[in-house]
Amino acid sequence: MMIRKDLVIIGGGAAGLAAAAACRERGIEDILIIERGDVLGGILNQCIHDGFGLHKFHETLTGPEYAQRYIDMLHTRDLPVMLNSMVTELSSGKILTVVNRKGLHKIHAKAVILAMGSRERTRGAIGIPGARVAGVFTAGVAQNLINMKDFMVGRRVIILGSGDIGLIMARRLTLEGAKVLMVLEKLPFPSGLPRNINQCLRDFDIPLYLKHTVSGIHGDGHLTGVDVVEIDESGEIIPDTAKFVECDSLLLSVGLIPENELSRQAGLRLDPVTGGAVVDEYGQTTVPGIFACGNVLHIHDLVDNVSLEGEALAHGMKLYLSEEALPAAGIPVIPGNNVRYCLPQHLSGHAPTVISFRPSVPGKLHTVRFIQNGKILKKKSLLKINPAEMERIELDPELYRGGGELTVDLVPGRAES
Amino acid sequence: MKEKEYICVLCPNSCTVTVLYDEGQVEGISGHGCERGREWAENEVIRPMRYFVGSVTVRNGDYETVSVKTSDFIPLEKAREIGLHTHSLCIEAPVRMYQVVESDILGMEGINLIATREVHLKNGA
Repeated sequence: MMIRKDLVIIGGGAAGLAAAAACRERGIEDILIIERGDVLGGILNQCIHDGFGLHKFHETLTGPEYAQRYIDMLHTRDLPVMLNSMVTELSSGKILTVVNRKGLHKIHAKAVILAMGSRERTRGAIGIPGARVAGVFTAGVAQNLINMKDFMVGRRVIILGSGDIGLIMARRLTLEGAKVLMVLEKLPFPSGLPRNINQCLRDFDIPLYLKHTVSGIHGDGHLTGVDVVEIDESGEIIPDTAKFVECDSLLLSVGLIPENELSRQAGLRLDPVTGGAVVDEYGQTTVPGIFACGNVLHIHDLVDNVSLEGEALAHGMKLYLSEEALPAAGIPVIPGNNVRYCLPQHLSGHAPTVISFRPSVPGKLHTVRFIQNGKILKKKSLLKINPAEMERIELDPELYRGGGELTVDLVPGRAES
Repeated sequence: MKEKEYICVLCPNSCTVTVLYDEGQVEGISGHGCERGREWAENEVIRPMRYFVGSVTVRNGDYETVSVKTSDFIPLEKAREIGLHTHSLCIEAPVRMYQVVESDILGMEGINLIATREVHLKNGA
């Protein structure tokens, strides 16, 4: 039997919850959230540290508290949720195959929101040679074991990668009584937020070695130590710098990958830089009626921005469900100098527009410029730029609607008015 | 007069705050983006303050642990001690959201350890 729904949201984490609440607010009645886990909230449940919600709720919350705010919103709005349910197929015609304990279900949706989040890069993904031993964890798995399962991963720990989850775990392990020996980062600058470098490493005198990595893993059954090596200017390992460091666990915080298997099945276009869908300012992908938000679209550093992105879908969703089509997005957005990527990748010029972008290099005072047909449409000064920090800037569609390709770049110095 | 730079941890803006001080006496603060940041930076020189978060073992719950936080800032120098203490605690399910898990933790008056999640009894009992 085919179940029919106006809107199906795949994923009940930060992105899906925010999208659901906002779509209901806009008067979309027939919504279903499908969640793989046994509770809503996704990864927020294991992020027990504080610092969430400062933009959204103007107070500092822990992950579980932040999730609870949205779960409460959903309950008061009576939004249906399918828990313990996995979407295994999604077609371009928006037919979903869902598996749970009750069996196999087919759902035909008028519109779909992709909010599946991301997964962690593993040892295999970065190719560290050496023994296949116990004691090597991704930082998020270690976080889940300690915070949710009450299982301590080790006593002498090395963390590879300076991503935020790794930094948070350095502090968490220290406060649980473990010795975090060092955090290693391949790049010449940290990939986590500056405040996390401060409150997670500096507060506890944990050394951060930039331009260092792990070149070998040792042990028989269980990890006994790793080889720590220096990296040269071109990013290559300097072989004679290898030093053996004894440890019983290695945590990998080496990046997140948007979880886009379903997106590929649906045949929508992916951006090779973000690893997520190509979208317009409505958040619609290249398959009409399929939208995306949160980490499945591109990796965020702040959950507040994930929520904002989810909420922003409501406008286009309401329009799509009544009109069955959205204006074509004919204006490409191109990342220029010092910009690694920007989103949306193309624009129609008919909806409120927020351009999200990530700098490719760290630096002091810069000006972001939006350029179309050789003319600067808008510019704004940024006191500092950091690849670890995503920027979001509103752009009035009136400014760019009539023109062609739009370039976003960063130039040193202040914007002259 | 000495000068020290801090990256404020209160919000994602991560302001670089410069503090001028002399023999533990703060003489001037600049670079902060808000009043809370100014207070925070002042404390950095005298006595750094942080929130503490951790988890406490739960018996008979649908989770093995409950996440907790302190009701207010605690001195950074106390963080490890609070961590080890929290690690040794064990409470019974169910746990309500914002339930006080322990009051006046380590004898610090008015500083409570508060649950930041609900934990239900196992099997929904």
